Amino acid sequence: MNPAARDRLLGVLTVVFAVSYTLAARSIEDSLLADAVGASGVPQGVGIAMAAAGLGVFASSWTRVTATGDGAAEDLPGAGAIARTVALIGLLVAYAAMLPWIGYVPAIFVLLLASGLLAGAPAGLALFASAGVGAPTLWLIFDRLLQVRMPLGRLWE
Amino acid sequence: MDALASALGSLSSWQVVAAAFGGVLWGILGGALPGISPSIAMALLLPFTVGLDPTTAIVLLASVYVGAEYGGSIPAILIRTPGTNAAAATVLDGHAMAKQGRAGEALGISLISGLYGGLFGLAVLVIATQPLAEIALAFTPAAYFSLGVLGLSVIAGLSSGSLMKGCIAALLGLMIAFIGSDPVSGVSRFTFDSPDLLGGIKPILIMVGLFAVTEMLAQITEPAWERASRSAARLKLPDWAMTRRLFKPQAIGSVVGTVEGVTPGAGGTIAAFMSYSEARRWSSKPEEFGHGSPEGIAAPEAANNAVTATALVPMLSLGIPGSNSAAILMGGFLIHGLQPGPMLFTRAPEVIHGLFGGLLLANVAMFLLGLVILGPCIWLVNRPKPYLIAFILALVMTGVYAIHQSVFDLLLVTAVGVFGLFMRWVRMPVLPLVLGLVLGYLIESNYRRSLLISGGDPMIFLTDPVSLALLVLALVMTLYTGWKEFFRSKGKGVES
Repeated sequence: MNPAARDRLLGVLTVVFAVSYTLAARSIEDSLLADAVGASGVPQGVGIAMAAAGLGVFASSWTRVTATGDGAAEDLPGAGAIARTVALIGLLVAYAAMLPWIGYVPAIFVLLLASGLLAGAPAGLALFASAGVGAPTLWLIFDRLLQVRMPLGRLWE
Repeated sequence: MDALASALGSLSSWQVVAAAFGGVLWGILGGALPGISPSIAMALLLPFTVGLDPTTAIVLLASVYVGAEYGGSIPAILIRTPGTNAAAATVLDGHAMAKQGRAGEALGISLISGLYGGLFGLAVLVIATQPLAEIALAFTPAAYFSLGVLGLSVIAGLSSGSLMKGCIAALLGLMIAFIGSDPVSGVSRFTFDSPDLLGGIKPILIMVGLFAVTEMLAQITEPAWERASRSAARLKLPDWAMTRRLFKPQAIGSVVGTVEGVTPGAGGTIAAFMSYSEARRWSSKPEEFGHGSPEGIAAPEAANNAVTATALVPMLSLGIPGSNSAAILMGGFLIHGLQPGPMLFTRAPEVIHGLFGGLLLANVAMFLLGLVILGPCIWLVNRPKPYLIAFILALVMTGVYAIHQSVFDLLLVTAVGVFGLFMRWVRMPVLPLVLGLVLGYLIESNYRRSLLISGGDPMIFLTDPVSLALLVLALVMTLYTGWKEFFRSKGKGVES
């Protein structure tokens, strides 16, 4: 997809989102303590401004090639790379899901191991050892030193 | 002169020296870990100050603050993860330099600029606490609203040549800031009946998602980034030519940090972003910003560290804690039976002078400890990329969980990371979103308070002299930046 088409897509998505947001803001009910502007006043104004900005991006995509934007912008990578990104997203979601059940140290061990493998580390002793050292080290820093209580795991309680 | 002698005299106490060094070290550790804010790092030590004498206790807490605000820049540069909100402005150029194999140089600039800003702020604190307190008193809700508008006026400078997309990003940041309880009536907004959203979304969660998680999701598909050579992996302090180049952005950062610091509620994050934008505006090489400009590190770091001292002005002189960290420090005073405010200078001058001396020591300690610990930090991030990605993700997810002990936060940060990939794809700049997020509450709450005070008359924003001055300044900055951006983009069009 060329940059102008991307801008068009961004413009359309922005307008759709901004209109939905403005409608959602209009449905906010004020309490008896509300001021003249109300809880929905400023969000509605922001929603309308965003719709206007979305229209601006859409319109400008037709009049010039595109704005330069963030220098880090790149095209979507190939199917293999996308699969790896999706797998990493799945791993992060899985970490969040398993953390309360199996506890912090096993969960972070799995995250270290699996994300290392996904990133291309060879499956061997070095990776296993780094995860084995990293997990308890992080637990010591956060749970013991900084007194942030990490879950022990409902399965073991 | 007596005050100066008293401040310097406090440096001869080994307890104060130990508190300054220990506090800075603890602060750097806390600031460098995502999820541990400066105020949390300070709060963790608060119970331990009970048994200390007041001067040592206050110096310990203030040193943690100095160390934490500096420490936030280390992961921002090395792993694209701002350890504190204020370090978000350092991410772009700091991490760009690190990826070019110039991590040591970036960290050296950050360290020196932090020292420069910290000492400048301290000088202002010592010399001008009482006159500056009057400026803080002059800030009405209308002036705070206008201050927020002034903050938003730098969007053009942060939009990387795409003003419309920058506006969309900033508006999105404002929308995220509106999630949670309404600041006036307490009505829930955009919470979808989820208790996790009732308290709103902490800016650090969005920043970690947009910077760190997005970067890791992108990096996992890319070839190994450039590893620093043996010489580049060493901490490198700026040479004379670089020192001269950095003078202007450091001065900009120090002045902006001072102004923002004495204003309760403004804080280091706004100061960092404003100084970044101003440094770019006044730079002879603005095109380098965002691609590894040393000035893009110097300005926000000087501002951020200037705030650590000047944020104490309203707290010490008026008893108004302008930030969470200042509130914790105020707690330290109260624990020892000292009430911050105008009378503090007459009732406990030795503690105030000890604090001034301790802050000087803390800045020196920050520099010396930085020289020692930055080398190993650089070595650490120069390890093979797969292990580094795994370690960064583990650190980030642990830090995120540490904020509220919430699984929801982990899922939120992951979702924000995915959205960050989309922003890259459509070339939408990230910094305006962060700015909108940080300023959302300040703008909305003070806008509505002002209208309540004026009975709904919007002229209050123009009749309040401070508000009017800030709005005029915002208008001038917007027009000037827009004009410069217009001619810059025209120039690009001609070149292409």
